[in-house]
Amino acid sequence: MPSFAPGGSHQTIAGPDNWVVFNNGPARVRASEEFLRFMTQPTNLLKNSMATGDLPTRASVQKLPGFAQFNKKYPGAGLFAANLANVRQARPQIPQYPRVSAALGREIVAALLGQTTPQAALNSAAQQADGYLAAPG
Amino acid sequence: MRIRRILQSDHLSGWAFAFPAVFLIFVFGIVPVVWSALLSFQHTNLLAPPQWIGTANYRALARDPLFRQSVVHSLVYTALFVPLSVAGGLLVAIALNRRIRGVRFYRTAVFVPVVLSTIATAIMFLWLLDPDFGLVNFLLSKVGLGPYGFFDSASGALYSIVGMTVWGWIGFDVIIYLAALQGIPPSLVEAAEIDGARTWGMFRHITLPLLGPATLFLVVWSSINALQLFDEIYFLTNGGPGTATYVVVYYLFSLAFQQGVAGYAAAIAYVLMIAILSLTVVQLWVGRRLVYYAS
Repeated sequence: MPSFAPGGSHQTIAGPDNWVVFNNGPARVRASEEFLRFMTQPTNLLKNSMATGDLPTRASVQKLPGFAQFNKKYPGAGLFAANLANVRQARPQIPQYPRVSAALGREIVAALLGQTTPQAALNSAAQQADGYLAAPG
Repeated sequence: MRIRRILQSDHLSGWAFAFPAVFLIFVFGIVPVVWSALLSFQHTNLLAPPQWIGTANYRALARDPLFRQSVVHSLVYTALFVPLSVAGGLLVAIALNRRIRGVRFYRTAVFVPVVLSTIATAIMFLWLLDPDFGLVNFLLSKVGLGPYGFFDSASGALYSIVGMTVWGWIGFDVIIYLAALQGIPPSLVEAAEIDGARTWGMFRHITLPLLGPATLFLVVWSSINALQLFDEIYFLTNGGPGTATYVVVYYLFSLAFQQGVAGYAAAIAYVLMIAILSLTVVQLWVGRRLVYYAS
């Protein structure tokens, strides 16, 4: 876990963005996959970033020769790309994640409201998460 | 020959007239009821292909502490909202059923909150009940009370919502009771007066029994609405602080549309529907025994 404590790891919350496609049969899944491969090729991402100012979603984009120009057009983009090295842990990409996250959120609030101790809140969140993860995804 | 008979029959024109209503009820009433019944036996997030899991959703309900908490909150809310709004509505209706100057204005004023949108009402109460700069806490501080957190306090949020919704709906009960009060035959009141009935006796033995049908309707209607409480919670507290205002419909909404467990949410919706149906049947059954119908 990231931490402010001395010796805690320096991490960024950037990084966990997802592309989502619907599962409407194998042919469409195959087509979507092909489309995403095309979309996320570093050269195409850079083209998109140049046109829109969107931050590049792959670290490899900064190694492209055109990246210097992007950094000049949108100052600060280079710093963002460099910070991608601090992505240590992305949020898990599983269907149960929203439920696990909500349970953790509720327990943190309960601890902040003084209704329970931090340890009990974390134990309860862990127990709920185990239950959700045991169910099918 | 046969076709002409069909075309000219009353059935066809009857169904043609009824078609718009039948179609809408089918699409927005029957289809969702059947569809959510199917969902409740599935594991699904409404996007990916569903899995059939039998009664697992219903069995999971039994050991879900947040579901139990939501049920308790819904029951507490209903147990407070229904008597407060019905009894309060009766009191206000009796007060407004007299020949006083400006009674039309008062009746309109009492009904205005009912036609206000929930969001407008909620924003007003958010400002009034704000813990830091709300008018209510300011006035309470003048008499040495508070400050209270209201919607921001885990112990007070549900009761604040009871207060707000009673204020918002009392006008409806008032209108129904006013109509019922004006339907009481003057001959009965006169006869009771000749027999020497005083104010309380008149209320207890003439007014109250004749308001029975209106009361039964309001209790059934308010209970159904109270158990389906959602808008106010969604806008004001999002179930919080913590889980203090999780009610059944808010919980099932968050499951189905925020956390991707629509099958489980559908099971909750079905349990709620059966609970509301049973409560209504019990209320109508008890009502038939207690309520006096004049005609």
